[in-house]
Amino acid sequence: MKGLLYRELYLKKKSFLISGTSMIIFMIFEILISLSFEYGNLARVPETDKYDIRLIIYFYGNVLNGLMLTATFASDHNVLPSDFQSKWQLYSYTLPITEKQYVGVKMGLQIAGGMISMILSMLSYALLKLLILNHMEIAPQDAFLIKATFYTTLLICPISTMIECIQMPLIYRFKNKNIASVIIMIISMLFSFSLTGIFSKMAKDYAATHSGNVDDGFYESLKQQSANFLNHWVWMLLLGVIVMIICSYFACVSILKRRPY
Amino acid sequence: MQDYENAISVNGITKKYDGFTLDQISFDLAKGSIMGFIGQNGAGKSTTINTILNIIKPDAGNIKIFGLDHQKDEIEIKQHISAVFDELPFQDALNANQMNIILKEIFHEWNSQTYFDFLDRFQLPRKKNFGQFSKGMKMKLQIACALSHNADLLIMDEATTGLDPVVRNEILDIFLEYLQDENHSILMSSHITTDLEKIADSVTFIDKGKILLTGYKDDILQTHGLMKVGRSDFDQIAKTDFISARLSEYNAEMLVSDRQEAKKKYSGAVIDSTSLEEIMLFYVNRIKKEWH
Repeated sequence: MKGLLYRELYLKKKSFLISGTSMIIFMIFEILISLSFEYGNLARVPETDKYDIRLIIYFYGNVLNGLMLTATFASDHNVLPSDFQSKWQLYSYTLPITEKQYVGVKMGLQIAGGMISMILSMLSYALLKLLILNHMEIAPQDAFLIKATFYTTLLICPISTMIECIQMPLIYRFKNKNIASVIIMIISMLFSFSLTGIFSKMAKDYAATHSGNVDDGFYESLKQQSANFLNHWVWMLLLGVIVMIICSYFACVSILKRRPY
Repeated sequence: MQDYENAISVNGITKKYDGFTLDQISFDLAKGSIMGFIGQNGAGKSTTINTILNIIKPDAGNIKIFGLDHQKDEIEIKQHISAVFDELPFQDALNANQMNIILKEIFHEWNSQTYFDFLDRFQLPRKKNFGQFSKGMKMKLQIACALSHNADLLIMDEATTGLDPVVRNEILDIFLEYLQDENHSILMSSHITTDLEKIADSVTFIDKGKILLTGYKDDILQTHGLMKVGRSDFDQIAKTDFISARLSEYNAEMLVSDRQEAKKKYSGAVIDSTSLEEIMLFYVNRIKKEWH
């Protein structure tokens, strides 16, 4: 069991370094582009701009996203297809290890990765709040942006774990990353359409009761609605992830036991 | 582990695929011996080996390894066997030092000293990624891994294919050293019959999913012979007396499975000794009976 764990960690370290470096580069570009859009010329950012909080929001929001994505990239997604490619999958059947141990290590690391991402996200937000946000007066749209960034980064972890849980048995079953990716893409699209639908409904609900331009009240309302929505659904989501992990574990063990060759 | 006579006993293994059937495969590998598993590409060698290793589930039949059921006692058996494939099954990003740490935790009897001794003997670097290894180096690494946990049985699937003769000889010498221990056995599949002729104690021929011949190599080479007659005399030979015949413009060569009997019956004919390669060739063409 420990041997399998070491192997996964050696391989993850490599993919973590590659994906992490590319994510950091991507993140720097993203921040620079975002700031350019906001201020036009970066050299002209006024020192006393009362909205310079946005700089922090953009920066931390993107750092958080970067961390989340890096952690997600370092997951099984990269190691599992390479097990098939390198014939390790076949070789592992010749080793004195059970299917439960094999899948357990992979899934355990997946869950650990998701949890570390979640803790990082919460820590970053707490730090941000403690050091900066508590000492400033924040405009409602900025407050909404901060919350939205936090919720998004927080949600990436269980959602990516859930996606991995769907993907793992598919890769074992089809021994092919592409088929699994197509299925995951369809699920992601459905998920993203549902999320768009939910936010459109929130905006419509607000528009039905308010008239005129978008004002601070809109952001306050949106923040409230998002919080209500998450409070209502986050437990369902966590429950869904736990059920998904259990189902995925047994599905993978069962597929491997059948020796699909 | 209990005392056993045969390292491997395969009994009536059948596995059906679309377009290919492994049909009632049976053979025994005696403890302390090396068996060559011979057949052309697609004959069923890898399917048989994968079935023995429980990578493939058979539709029928049973397999005993060290006298134990290969499915029920799988984990115990796999502590004492090693598999070597034609390709390195380790990711390119790993290195030899990391493999030591990984396998040390998997095999109870893993010996790091033996492993590093093999690495030094094969002049394999410890920190270089496997992606930078040549085919020969990869094969040597697999063998180093296979021989470092005190395995009693080595199962190799086309392990020497694609290697140059120098590396092949080096590897064959290692196998002979390994067999110095009377508890050690090897099942080695290959279509390079010359390698097997050098080291095998027994051979099993497989073709189109069926076992054609199994037994001690010396017995097979002694009983089989290549009978040579002039083209004009060929018609006088009964078709049931030979496996198949290779015809040329002036001569006919036939593989006979009982040299002594053939000598008695066709006293005028020349009967030479033959090689495993020739035997395989004539058996593979047995359905055509006459070929050029």
